[in-house]
Amino acid sequence: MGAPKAEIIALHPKESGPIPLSQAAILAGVVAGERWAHAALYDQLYPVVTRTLEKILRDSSGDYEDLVQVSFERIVRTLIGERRLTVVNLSAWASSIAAHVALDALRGRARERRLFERGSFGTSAVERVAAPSLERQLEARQQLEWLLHTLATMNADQARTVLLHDVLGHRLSEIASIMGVTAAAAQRRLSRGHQELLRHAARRSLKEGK
Amino acid sequence: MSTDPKVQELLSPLTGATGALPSRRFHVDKDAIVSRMVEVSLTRERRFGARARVGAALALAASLALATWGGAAWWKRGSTIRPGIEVVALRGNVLASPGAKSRGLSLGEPTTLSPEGALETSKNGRARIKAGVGLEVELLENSKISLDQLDAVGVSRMLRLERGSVRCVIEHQPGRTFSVVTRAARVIDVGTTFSVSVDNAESGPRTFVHVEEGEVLVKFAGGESRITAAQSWTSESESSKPAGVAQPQPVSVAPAEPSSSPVPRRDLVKRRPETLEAETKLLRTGLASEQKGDLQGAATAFETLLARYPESQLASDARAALSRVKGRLESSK
Repeated sequence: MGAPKAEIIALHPKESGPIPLSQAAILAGVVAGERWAHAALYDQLYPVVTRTLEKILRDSSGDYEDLVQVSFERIVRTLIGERRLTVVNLSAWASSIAAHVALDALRGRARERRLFERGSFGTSAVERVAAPSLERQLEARQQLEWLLHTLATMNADQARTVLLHDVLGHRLSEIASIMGVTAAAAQRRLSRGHQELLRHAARRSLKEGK
Repeated sequence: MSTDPKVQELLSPLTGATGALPSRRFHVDKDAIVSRMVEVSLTRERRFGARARVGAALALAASLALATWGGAAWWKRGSTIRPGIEVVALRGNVLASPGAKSRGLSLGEPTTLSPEGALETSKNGRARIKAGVGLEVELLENSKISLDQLDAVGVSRMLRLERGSVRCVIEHQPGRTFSVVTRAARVIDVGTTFSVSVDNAESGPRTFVHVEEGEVLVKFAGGESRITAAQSWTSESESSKPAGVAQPQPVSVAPAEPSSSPVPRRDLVKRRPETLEAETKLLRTGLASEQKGDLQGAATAFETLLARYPESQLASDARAALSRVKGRLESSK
């Protein structure tokens, strides 16, 4: 692998002008505990982290800022952890961390039994689901709430794999690398996740007498 | 995306309508998050895995039991320990440099530091430091102190002020002293609340001491002076012999003189006590307002002092403080 190309511009505190920093330099700075490196990492990953959170939670209110912070804390903790990772695609990897954080948030909400009362992925979420009529809007809203609730209650690894693959568009090989499993294991998780989703949907249909 | 159309349909609320995602309506505090990231990266907790944490918790429990048993005996023997100094970043950036590395402190979260290295605040930064019982120091903006001799149980605790200002609230404890040291002076408390500032003026750095309650002893190249409540001391320049020492005066509450009053003479001995009292009161009011964040009020007090007593011994300090306050007012606009 050649030398990493300069990817971002960050202001080093000891210098007067902006200096292009490579991903390798940023990661080395983060491991060394340098503030400028953390700021550069934040700048680089902020768009992907927020977009992932928005896409899964469908909401930018409530505890959203906390989730952004938690995501970055986990990113740093994992980068410098004892099981040091070799990150091939930093953005994809950060996106998976944010997805994990979003999933944890969904689980927390489900545990609080406020899933349907919070309105955090209720009213505001429905605004973003295209629907030509009020009836369709309500239906879309219920569908979104049901999906988020199901993802929050199903097996975490399977839910995360489904989100990474089907919602965020990562390839199985990427997911395998991100989750530290083989491609076959990632495939199995995805398949079981789909089956679990279908099972929940069948149960729901049965309950509603459809 | 899944090839199963049923799964695709189930996931459609999350996979569709991506273009309709909202723009970022929320506010994320980048500085706070970056500070937290730095803190996370510096914490030792990261070195422990999940299993290690369980082990560590058990070890900690055992250590606590031992410490509880052995601590009292050790304390009775008079052994000295070096407990940490609690620092809370109140606003802005607060940087601790225990060694070669610096770390930013999270706002509002108490952080325990060992008594070594330095602590500094940025522009608009502020931190509160507690070192043991009876010692509380507020580090104001653009300030830097050395923590090396701020030993919480030492007999003689000392804080070195490199630049900026500190406000100290000290509970008098017999047999123990606390002092603030600058390049020009050593301010020794005798149980009091006082402020020390180092102003890096063009003519050279100056030290300014103001006592709110109690009494302090200022030792400098030319000697020493006791300063009591509502009195101030200033060095003209730390590179030269300190000049002005406000002598203790009998408290006589008098209304501030109108601007048409005769200008008080520079000689402190011949100065009318009520004039000095009024000057000090104005400076004190200004500093107190500044500390509370009432910058406009602070500016008014300093301007009044300068208008009424242009020859005041405290004029140079009032001018420096006024310039600082105006700078802050400008930056806040």
